[in-house]
Amino acid sequence: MKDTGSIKALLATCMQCGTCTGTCPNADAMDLTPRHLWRMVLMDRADEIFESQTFAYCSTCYFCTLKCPRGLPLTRAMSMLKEVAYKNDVKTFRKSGAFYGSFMESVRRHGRVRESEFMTLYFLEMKNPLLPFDFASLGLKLMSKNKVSFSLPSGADGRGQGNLDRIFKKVSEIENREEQMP
Amino acid sequence: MNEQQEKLPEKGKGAIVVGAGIGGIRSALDLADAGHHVTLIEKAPHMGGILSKLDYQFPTDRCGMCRMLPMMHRDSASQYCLRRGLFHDNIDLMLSTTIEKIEGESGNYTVQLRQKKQYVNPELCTGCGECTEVCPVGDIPDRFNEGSTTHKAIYLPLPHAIPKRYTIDINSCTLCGACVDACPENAITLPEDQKKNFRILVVDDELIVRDSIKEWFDFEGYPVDMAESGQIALEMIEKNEYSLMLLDIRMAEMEGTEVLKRAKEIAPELQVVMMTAYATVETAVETMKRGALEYIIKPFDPDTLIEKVNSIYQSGRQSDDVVMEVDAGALIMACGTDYYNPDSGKNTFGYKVYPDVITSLEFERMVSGSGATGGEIIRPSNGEVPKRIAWIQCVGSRDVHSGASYCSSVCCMFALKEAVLTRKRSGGTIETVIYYMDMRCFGKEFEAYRKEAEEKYQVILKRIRPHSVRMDNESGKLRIFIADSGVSTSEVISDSTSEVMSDSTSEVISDSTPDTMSKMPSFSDSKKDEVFDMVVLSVGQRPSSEAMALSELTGVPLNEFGFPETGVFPESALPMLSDSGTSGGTSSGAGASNRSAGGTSNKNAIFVGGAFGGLKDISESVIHASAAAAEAMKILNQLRGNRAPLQPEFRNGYSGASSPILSSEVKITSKLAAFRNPGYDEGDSSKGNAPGDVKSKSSGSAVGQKSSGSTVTQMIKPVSVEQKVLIIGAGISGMTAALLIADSGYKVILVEKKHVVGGNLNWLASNLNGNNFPALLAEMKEKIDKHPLIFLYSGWEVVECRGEVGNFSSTIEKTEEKKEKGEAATNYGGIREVIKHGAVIIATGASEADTASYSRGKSDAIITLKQMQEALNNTKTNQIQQNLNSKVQNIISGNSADVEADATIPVIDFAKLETVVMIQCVDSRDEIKPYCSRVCCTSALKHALSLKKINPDIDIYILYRDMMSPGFTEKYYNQARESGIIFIQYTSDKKPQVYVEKGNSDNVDGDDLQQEKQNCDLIKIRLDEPVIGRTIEISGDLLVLATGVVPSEAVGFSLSQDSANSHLSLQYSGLAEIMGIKNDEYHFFRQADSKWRPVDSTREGIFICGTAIGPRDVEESIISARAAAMRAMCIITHDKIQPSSVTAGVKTSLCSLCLRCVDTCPYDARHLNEETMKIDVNAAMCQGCGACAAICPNSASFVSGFTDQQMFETIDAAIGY
Repeated sequence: MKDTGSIKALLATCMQCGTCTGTCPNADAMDLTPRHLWRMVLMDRADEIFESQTFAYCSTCYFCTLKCPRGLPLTRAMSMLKEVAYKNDVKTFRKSGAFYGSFMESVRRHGRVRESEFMTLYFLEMKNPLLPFDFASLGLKLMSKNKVSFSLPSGADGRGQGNLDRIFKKVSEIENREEQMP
Repeated sequence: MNEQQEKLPEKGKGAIVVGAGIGGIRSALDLADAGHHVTLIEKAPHMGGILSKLDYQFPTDRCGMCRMLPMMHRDSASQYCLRRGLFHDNIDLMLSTTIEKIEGESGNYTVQLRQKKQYVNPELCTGCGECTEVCPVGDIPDRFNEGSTTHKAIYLPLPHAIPKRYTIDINSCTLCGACVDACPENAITLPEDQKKNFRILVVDDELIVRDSIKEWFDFEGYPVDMAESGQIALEMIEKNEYSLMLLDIRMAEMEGTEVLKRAKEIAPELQVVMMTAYATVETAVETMKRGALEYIIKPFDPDTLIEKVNSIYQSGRQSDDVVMEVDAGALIMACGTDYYNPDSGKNTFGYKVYPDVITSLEFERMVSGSGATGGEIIRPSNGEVPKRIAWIQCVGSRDVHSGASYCSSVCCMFALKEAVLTRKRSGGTIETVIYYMDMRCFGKEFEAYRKEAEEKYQVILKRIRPHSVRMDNESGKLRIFIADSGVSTSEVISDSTSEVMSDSTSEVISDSTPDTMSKMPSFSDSKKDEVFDMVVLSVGQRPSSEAMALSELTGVPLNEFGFPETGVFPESALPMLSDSGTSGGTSSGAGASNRSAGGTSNKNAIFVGGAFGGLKDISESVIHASAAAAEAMKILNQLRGNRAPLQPEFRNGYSGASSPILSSEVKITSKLAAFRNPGYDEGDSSKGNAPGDVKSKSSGSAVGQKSSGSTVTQMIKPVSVEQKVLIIGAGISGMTAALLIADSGYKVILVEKKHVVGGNLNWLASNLNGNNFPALLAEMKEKIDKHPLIFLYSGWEVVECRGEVGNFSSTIEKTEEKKEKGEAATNYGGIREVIKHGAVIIATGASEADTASYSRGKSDAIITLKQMQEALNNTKTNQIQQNLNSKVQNIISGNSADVEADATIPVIDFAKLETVVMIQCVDSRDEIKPYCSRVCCTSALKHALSLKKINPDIDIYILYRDMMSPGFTEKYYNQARESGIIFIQYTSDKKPQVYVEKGNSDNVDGDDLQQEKQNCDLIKIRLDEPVIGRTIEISGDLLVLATGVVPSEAVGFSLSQDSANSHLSLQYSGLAEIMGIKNDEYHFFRQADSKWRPVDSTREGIFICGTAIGPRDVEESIISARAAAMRAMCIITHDKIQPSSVTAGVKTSLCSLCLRCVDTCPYDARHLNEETMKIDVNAAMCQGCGACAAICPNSASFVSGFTDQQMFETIDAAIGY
């Protein structure tokens, strides 16, 4: 269920002034501007919202939240949209979702990101054998600057140093509890 | 001052007015005009407030402040530009004065005033300016010019003030004495240089610190001693007397805290400032506890320390000030408002960072001739003429980040005026763009001004909120970042509309999940940036800096934003706390508030006037000021008892208007003081020495001559006054005015056409704030019935009004008689009465318009705001609710026979409604009604919020053009959005389309109750959503149209639902013709001046108030009624009107009866007497302006005291001929 009701409640006092669009550094890349997106949320147009990739482009810079004359938590609303999209496996968000998922998986295993493992997980998730080539030039660039660590991917149940299983478990417990509350 | 106190008992208890801005001046003038003594105090060294800085006001783009001056008894006041100064027999103006203490209670206050020491004696100063030339201290930012210019330590606070009163900025003055020597009149006395007695002891174990501090203060003129340890310091304190010790905390031998403790034991009066490099909160608190004054952190720069010490020094030497006590019966606070400083917040607009970003006030100074640029619009950065200027609205308004979620109400018109001015000045070469959210042009003439700005002057309005300004380093231009929704919207929309029209199976936005209508490629919103040469920030209003202190002194509560509360409604009508927003019923026990009945504050005789209550434009400030004066008048009149009002002094002497030319050559001297002295010149009334007090340096021959007084004595026959007021219309305004005047001790004849009093209050249950109007009405009715001085004629109307100010004679007729004899106007046989009265207040009100637009009349489910209110009132009576409960899905039943309700009142079961749509601006702000009706947006908000309360699941759509929720009502706009109401903006060229889908097309009349289940009409509304950029369709059960307000004068339309083209059949009853006043183009009554005389009609002695002036809400109507009452009382309080000595006359032997003077007289004071075939001048109405004398081709028309010869010589002198 793609429920945007709770987001709508957050944004109720929006007056469509467009400050969010004006401030957004990524607005040019978005298919719908933030203002447009919020209007859709207010009008309950879930289908169109999740056809759009706008929220995936949010880089969480908080500029809009800072400037919104109504003081609305816009960045939080963007994150909430991402959450809904991730949980509902929305098509347009799948790529981003896989990216976030792989990232967090690596964090869960080691308490930090291991870049090579993270990439591997991401490529596996995307099930596209040609995808690694798209990243080749970026990868080489990063490697040349020593930005990529080469440790072998460990198994999912790896009990290495910094494993965050327990924290992740607790978080998901809390989240489930919160979901059941209302 | 003692002298004044002795005089006071004679004058009776007067009033104190705090603040000599436009509001304070109005209040003071009104009370003074009505014969009360007023002490007008002002914190600043000059009067005029914010208005002294603004040269141009819309709609005329001129100033007109002088129009506030008294029209009657003109000799008691100065008669020249009010921006320059004001004198009145009954007003004591005290500048640089604040209130210290208020003691006593209502009607018997003892107020302690503190006036700053005036180092330049205003009685002696001639304003020659030689002191300024020699003053060595310069570069002090000039507050008058918003800091864009600088002045010296001795300066003129207001360059155009009369008399020129030089002032010393004592904080900057070095007391060098150069000005004392330079002053030819010996007007300057500098205070003793007390710095020499202000000994400073510096205690620090570091030599370099001691030395440098000593050096700084030596330069500042303070004597400084040094001590390198605590022990030595204590010895020195025992020996010498010090005023201030600068004390280091960390010292080797003895800790600073210890030194502080012991020093305080030796010299408790010693002030100590602690210095340390190791700042912790604990030590700071510790030292403060032990009596340290301040705490500064090393390293500090000299300026910081010197400033601090200077301020300690200054605070210790207030002893120069004059403290005095004044008795007062009432107090009016009219301190105006402050403005937001964009520098204070996050400042993303770069104010004071980029020189070309200025505030609207700075821009105002720029276009002023007395400003830094002499009126040229130039870029402050490089002095070039800008090509594009942007105005950014809502800077510090409607913005939670700046702590102001309210709308400042005035900035929209302010910006429009500035843009128009720019276009006019530049001949259209400067492009002007205003970025706004809602263009709140909610006053009667505002919409027309906006239209003119857009169409005639091509001011570009863009509905978007820019978030920041950045400067291009290369070009120096300013870049504004915005979201832009203007991507050929009309094109997209027309396409989609046609698509919608053809698509019969279009989806429909149903109650809970609205869906898309058409799948258009919808790219309407984008990010953009625009480049400007200059950016003007429309800064919002803030509470006056004096609000807090005055609130503490007077007990007047402040609202959540810090503005003083103006409790307009009596206690019985206050909102019930449990049910604010929808309170109805008649219970009157809401006693939780501490505001008193009828007053405007909680101490009985302390009132808030002018813009002090916040968010008011000039016109409203003036109305509020008069209203506050009226309340004070009531108290003062009751105190005065039978004593006669202070009569204006009779004399032929000086009147300021008599000196039409006040060039720099001609100086009005301290002899003006003589003018203020009532004793002078009384005995010799034939001396018509009109401009005799004007001392001229260069042209003594021109002015100062005594003119022949022969004609003068003939004219100044006092006109006797009938001390009664006729009030037409007994709605809330009429009743308010009647009660106020009657309570002040004068007779009132209240004439109401209808048989019931109360007007619109009979159906209006509450306002947005939830005030209880039925209770208010009941209270007013009772008071009116019981009042011995009010004579109510309900069911009567005025048919004739003769006479002139002070002496009207009106005929009233019983309306019943008329009806019986048929509608024809030829019935002169009705019951009539003739009434004599001195003034008239017209409060005939307004009513709701009807419309034929938006399928109105085609369905019962399309109703007006008034019907909505009535339906809401209905639901509150339970019986109807019960009746409805038995009828399943009876959503609407327009004329149900079994429901006991007025046939025109729809009965609606709100609990069963699913979707309600409201359309604002129906027939308003367009060709049919070109004005904004002001109350519809707030009414819609009120209804929508009520509906949500009854039924939270209801979907409400409000389709608006600009949401007019000015001032604090912005709160409810937010509330409405919070509660999930959807607001969609439409434009006047793309109005929503309404289609009625009949529930059962076979049964259109809908009389059959059985059929009604299927007979629920569905209203479909189609419009373009500007942000999404698509056409959407909403299906509503109920459509509420905001049809706007039309004057009650309009007769001939009905509210019946099948009246097509109702607006075309408007006729007007012609009251204006009867009363001899003028209507405006919208058929409301024309104000004498919309800004400066907002409740005066075009005929002297006739006042207008409430919705008869133009659309306004109940609170504003009450205020305007009080203002009108005040203005009327100014006339009837005196038993005689003393015409001015300077009036016009006619030499009949020269007059050729060309009538040019009659046409040109702006005050209607001249007419042709057809019996004698001579031009008669009404001496009471003539204001001595001289327009007739100027236009007369034969020099037959003249103004007493001014000969042609005299005028020509004066002009020659002025132009240096």
